[in-house]
Amino acid sequence: MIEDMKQQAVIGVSLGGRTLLVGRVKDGVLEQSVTRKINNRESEGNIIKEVVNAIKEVMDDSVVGMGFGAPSLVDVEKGIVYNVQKIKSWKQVHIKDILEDTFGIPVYVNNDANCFAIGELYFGQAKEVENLIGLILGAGVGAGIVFKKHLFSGTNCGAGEYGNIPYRDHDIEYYLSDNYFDLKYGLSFDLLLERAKRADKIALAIFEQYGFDLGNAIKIIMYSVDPEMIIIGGPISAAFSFFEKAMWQKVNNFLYKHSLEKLKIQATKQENIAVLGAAALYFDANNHVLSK
Amino acid sequence: MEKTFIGVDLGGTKVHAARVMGGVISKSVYRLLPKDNGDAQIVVNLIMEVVNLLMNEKVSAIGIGLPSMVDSEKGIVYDVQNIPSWKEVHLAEILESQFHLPVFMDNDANCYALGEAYYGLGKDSDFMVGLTIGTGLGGGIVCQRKIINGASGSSGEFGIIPYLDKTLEDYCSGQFFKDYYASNGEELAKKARAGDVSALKAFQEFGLHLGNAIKVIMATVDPQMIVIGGSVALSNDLFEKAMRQSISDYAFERSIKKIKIQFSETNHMAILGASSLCFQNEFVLG
Repeated sequence: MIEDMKQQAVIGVSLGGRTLLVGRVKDGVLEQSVTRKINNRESEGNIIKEVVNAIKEVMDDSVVGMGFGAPSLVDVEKGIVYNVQKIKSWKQVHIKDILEDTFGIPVYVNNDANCFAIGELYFGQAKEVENLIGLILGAGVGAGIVFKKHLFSGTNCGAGEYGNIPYRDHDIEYYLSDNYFDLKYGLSFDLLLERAKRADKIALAIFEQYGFDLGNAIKIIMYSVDPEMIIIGGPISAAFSFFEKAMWQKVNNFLYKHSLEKLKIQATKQENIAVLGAAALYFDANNHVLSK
Repeated sequence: MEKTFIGVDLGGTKVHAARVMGGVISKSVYRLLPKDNGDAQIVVNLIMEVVNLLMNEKVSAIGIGLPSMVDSEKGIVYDVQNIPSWKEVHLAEILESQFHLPVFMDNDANCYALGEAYYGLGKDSDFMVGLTIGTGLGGGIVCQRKIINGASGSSGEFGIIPYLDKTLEDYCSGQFFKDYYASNGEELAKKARAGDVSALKAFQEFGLHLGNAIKVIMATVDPQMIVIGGSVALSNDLFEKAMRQSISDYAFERSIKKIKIQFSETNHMAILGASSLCFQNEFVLG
């Protein structure tokens, strides 16, 4: 069933705080894509125009649907995005209606973490998995949850908001987002990554501590939803090899050994996962219908 | 024709079972667990005894709720805390060979949530979390009347999530009253109702912590509804207000406005939920 659906082309749109990525996906492959820099101080209307124009570049007759992902609160049913991260003018945009009216095909909207998770299920490392978490570590911390091969957004698209959970003196997002490196060490993540690659001892120690905190956060994820697999995405995943060992040290303290035996934690390997994930929203929505 | 099932709830001090048809309990029995739980077989025998007492030719399957990690697929229960000898018991196999009927098993908090989903407050909800607050804090996640087990059946273990200097369970269960007020919840509730200021304060604090636990549940799974049961929940009049106050500052306003949080109206949900294990699976009996 999943294989059949991949014969149709679907467009994925990933709107980030600085970059817009749009692609046409067919047979599990990104056939064509465009990347546009976004001026996040532009008006709502101008950014909508950018999105529409980028979509036009990859649109063709084989396209049967579209998925749209953004780092924001989402009303999944109505396809409305609220307060998109870093784009001040996008306070409440009825993006589903706008895109469906413009292009005449069904459009599915969700947040970036959910797109990431469903993208890994359909196109990435989680194809054989039933229950997984896609954890994005970047400017914020959020997770997408897949239960029994379906995207699980929660009632208000608020599932997987692990960033908000109290942890140590603040919350999980405080310690795991890229801001923390600046706050605590006065160094940017990118710089730290460069230094870690050159085996700089301080950078490695900083990433080790990060791994401990991440491991503790992962235990919370496991206690709440017990996934078979956790895939780490977002900019910070680039440093995965530097914090992986410390992360496992904490995770291995997990109470239920049977879950631990099965658990796999990997960094994303898909380059275009944001766009692929947005496209996967279409397949997830239609798979649901078919499975009833 | 409504099918008949037996639901079994293995608790901390007793094993309770009922014969259920159409969600109605027609007969129920219980046996106290021996104080010295040395031999695993003794408890297995007690379970067989209660099932035997309820068995008749109409019963088509047995469902069991257990206070521990359960591998529902394989029918194995692991590490039951209050029965030290139960490290790994292949309970489904044992009972199936005795009664020649299908046996379904799951964690007791999951059964409680399932019971509320089928027969209680969760009837109209697509997606809910059931929380049991007793000697411990247990949770079950139910989506469209199916328990979300996760990879190994340990989903919904909200109690073990780190909180303050310990875990959510330490602050949101009977444990809280033991640790901080040297009392059991029931006695403290009596005092509170009689106007004892310190007892009333204890319940206010409890409500605050429970509210924080609810915020964690909302952040992780964002349910439509949370139903709360268990022995401590019976005193909800003493802590509900503080609990709702504590939740009110949750980061996502829309979630707070929409979420329904209610307290169990009857005591039987865990057993009814255990009996519903028999038909919530794909393999519906023919």
